[in-house]
Amino acid sequence: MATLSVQHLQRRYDDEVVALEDVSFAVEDGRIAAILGPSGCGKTTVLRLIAGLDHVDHGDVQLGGASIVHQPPHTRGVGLMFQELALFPHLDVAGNIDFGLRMLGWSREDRELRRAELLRLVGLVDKGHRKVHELSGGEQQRVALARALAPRPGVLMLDEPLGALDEARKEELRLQLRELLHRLRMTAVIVSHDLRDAVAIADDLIVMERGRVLQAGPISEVLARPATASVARMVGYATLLEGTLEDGCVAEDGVGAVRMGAGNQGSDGDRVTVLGHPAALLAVPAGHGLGTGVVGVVASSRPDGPVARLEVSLADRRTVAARWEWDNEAPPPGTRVDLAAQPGTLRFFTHTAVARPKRAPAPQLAFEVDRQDVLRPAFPEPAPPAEVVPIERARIRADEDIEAEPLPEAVEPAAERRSS
Amino acid sequence: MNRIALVPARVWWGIVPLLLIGPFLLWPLGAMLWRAFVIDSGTGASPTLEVVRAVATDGYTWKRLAFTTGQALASTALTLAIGIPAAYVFANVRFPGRTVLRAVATLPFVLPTIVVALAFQRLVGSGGWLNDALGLIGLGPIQATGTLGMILAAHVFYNVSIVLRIVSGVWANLDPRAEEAARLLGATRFGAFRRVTFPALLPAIASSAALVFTFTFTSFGVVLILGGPGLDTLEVTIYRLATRLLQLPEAAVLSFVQMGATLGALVLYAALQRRMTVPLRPRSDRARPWRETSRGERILVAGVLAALALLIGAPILALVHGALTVGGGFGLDNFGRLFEDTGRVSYIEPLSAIRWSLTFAIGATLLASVVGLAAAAAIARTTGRWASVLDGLLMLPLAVPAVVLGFGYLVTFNRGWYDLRGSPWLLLAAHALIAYPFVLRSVLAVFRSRDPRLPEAAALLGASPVRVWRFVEVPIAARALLVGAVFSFAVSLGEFGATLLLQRPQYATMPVAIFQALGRPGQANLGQALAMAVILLLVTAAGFLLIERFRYQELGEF
Repeated sequence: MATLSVQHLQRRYDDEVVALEDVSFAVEDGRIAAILGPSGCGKTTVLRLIAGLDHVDHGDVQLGGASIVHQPPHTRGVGLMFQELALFPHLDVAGNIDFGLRMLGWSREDRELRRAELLRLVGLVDKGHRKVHELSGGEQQRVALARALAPRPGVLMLDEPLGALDEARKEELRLQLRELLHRLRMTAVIVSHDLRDAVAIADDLIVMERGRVLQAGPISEVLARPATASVARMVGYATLLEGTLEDGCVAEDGVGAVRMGAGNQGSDGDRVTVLGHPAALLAVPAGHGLGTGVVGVVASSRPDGPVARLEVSLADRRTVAARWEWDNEAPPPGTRVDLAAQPGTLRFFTHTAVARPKRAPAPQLAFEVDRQDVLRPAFPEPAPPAEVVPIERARIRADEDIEAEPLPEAVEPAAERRSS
Repeated sequence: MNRIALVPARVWWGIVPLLLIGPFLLWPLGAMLWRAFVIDSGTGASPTLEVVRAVATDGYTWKRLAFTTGQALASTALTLAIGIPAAYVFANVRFPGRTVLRAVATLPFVLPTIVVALAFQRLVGSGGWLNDALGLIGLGPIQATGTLGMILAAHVFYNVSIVLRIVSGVWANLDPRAEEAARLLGATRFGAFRRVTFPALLPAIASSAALVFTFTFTSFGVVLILGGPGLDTLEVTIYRLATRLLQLPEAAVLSFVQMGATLGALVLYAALQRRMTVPLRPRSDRARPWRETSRGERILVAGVLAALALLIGAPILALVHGALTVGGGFGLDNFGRLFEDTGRVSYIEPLSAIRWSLTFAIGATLLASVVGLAAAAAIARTTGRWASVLDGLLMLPLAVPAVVLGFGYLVTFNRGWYDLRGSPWLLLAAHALIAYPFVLRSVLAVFRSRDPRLPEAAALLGASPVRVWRFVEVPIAARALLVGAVFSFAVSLGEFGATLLLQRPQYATMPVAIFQALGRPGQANLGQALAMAVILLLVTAAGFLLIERFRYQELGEF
């Protein structure tokens, strides 16, 4: 186990789009780093270069302070768990785990001890003599892990370690993996396209896009203070506003205006993108002046325990997810809502920092589906009994000493869209 | 930057096969080209165009070409007519003894041509079963030897197994749900077959047809023994021109015509082969959903089995029966004759032939295994356009008919320090060259289908390139290598065309000995020939059963 340092790695291919431009990062001894990025950004290429399975054009790879970039893969002391596992089909479970130890010339007794230890570690104690193709996907995954760990590599790399598993198994294995790697004090690099893997397992986060590292640092740091709008979107932020800065306010027609938070640079006339994280966004009834200044229309809502998660459409161009905690009655699609957020959770990026406008895929999809539903003429009108709901709301709000809002106005936008 | 990448591994692997095909294929071909088109051996003049014109205007040549093509087309059509129903039966109908019968039905492909020819002669030739039977009911003997029908029957005999192997392999692995889906979408049973199953089978059928065409177009042993006046294929014509008439330039020109045709058919085969390897996922017999066998299918099974029994079973039984017949009864006397020494000049001693046959077969198998493995490794490590170029180059030996190869050696290795006439090493090289593509195909299939990350995984676990080879590549390819090696063994054991041209009595092989014994009159000579043919039959059949046992999956490339 040792510190891994990657310096200015460059690798270009003649025929492929994926190329590494200038990749640098370091993983301290015993820490787990996750490389996050969209597919095709060069994540796997970085692993292959560290492993020596592909040669670098420029740059250096150091393990424990010594450069290994000129060594062939088999002397580097780097472990890799392949995305497709690449278990040896001609060997049984024990043979697979033994392989690295045999290459090191371990005696039979030593190998048996180590193998027993690893089988116990990954919970496959009685499966040593099974053929690998007889095992379930999760068990094969654990054999691959044990095999990679067996020769005690200086750094262990895992390429999409949870890719092939179903959601329930993923959740379970994420925690197990983190616990195991920490117990072994293993320096590890995990490649994933799923932020949840990184959050659950890693200490550090390295965000890549198009062959470059956009940001690297402790995971909480990257999540709280993404360096660019791209990073912010990749770690889950959604665009609230793309507008012009004037008098300390970012304004966009039809969406609203938000006061620029303290500590952000910018002068009047700058184009600024404002991003917020769904976990820190609240939807509140419109017209109370409670919001941050962004106004939207509910596109869809799903119950989430006693409250609800909303998809809020902003000026019909993008949607953001937000929680509704105002009351137990989620607003129906078409309702106007204000978005509210703690000022410190919003991120502001002046135009130069915005690489390209890109929306988070998932909300967009949800929005499309919902809008289709709204547009479908045969769909029953949401029309709640006009008397009951306002009374209900009025009662609740009366407790809080807030005036009831007239309903027809709120439903109007949805009705307009249906008719169009 | 990286020292390892300076010379790619594929180059090293490519060198090994080039060491064989360079001197023993490309050079002879070049020498033949030279001889045919550039200089006349006698005068030093360049009568190229004369020869070409002579060959082109000679009606005889065109007749031979037309006959060769015609009989190859007829053989291919007949083979498909029997092979496709048989493939259906073996792939889709369950009946007792299915696996055993399928193994037996695919056996003829590896049988030496000389054995096939002799078996057919025992069945329908003079003194064969058919004439004996006709004699019993008072009909006069018929002359089947030397007719086109005899040649076609023998061709179907040993090529039906190619169709059966390739087509039934694909058919058995087709996803039945595709046809079911077509039925649910409103297709009739025949419509579903026509629109779903048949298109999926078409590449397999076409590629097996291309292969059958190649083999029958270059047919030598069968035609030489069973044919007669007016029934010479190009291959036999080349043999006669080169050895009897000594018209070397003409033989060389015809050799290139011959190779052009073979090459064309094989390129077609390779293209179809690539298309075929898409949707297959081998399933075990047990995992397959078997339908109820319908009445029509029962009739089809009976018909196919009867045809195969008549076509494959009868000649082999006739051969064995002939070998065991002594005078009026049965006995092993024919085998005993193998130990007799008649002491005549230019007589090939049976024991010596058996010894040399085994020596060549073992040597060629070893050589072919090494070369084939290296060639497969080189191709598997190459990507893109170069992969097909390399594949084509390394498969070239398949496109060169054996007689042409032998002829090429005769005109090449005949002077100076490389005068290898009379050296058994030349024969060994020829056998290895003809055999290694079988190892190559078998092993390459594994190299291409196994996870390409396995060697990388091994390297990251500390295995040096040599150890990756030893602990991962070879063990995984071991079975395919064994299958290829057995094929090589059988090919070398049965090799007839090149051997006939290059042999000397001191190191002649069994097929040549059988051929010579057949050419001499007398019951004793025939008995010896039959006994040796049965030995060849047993040895190749044993090897073949070994292959069946070790074959991973239904789909072999041969």
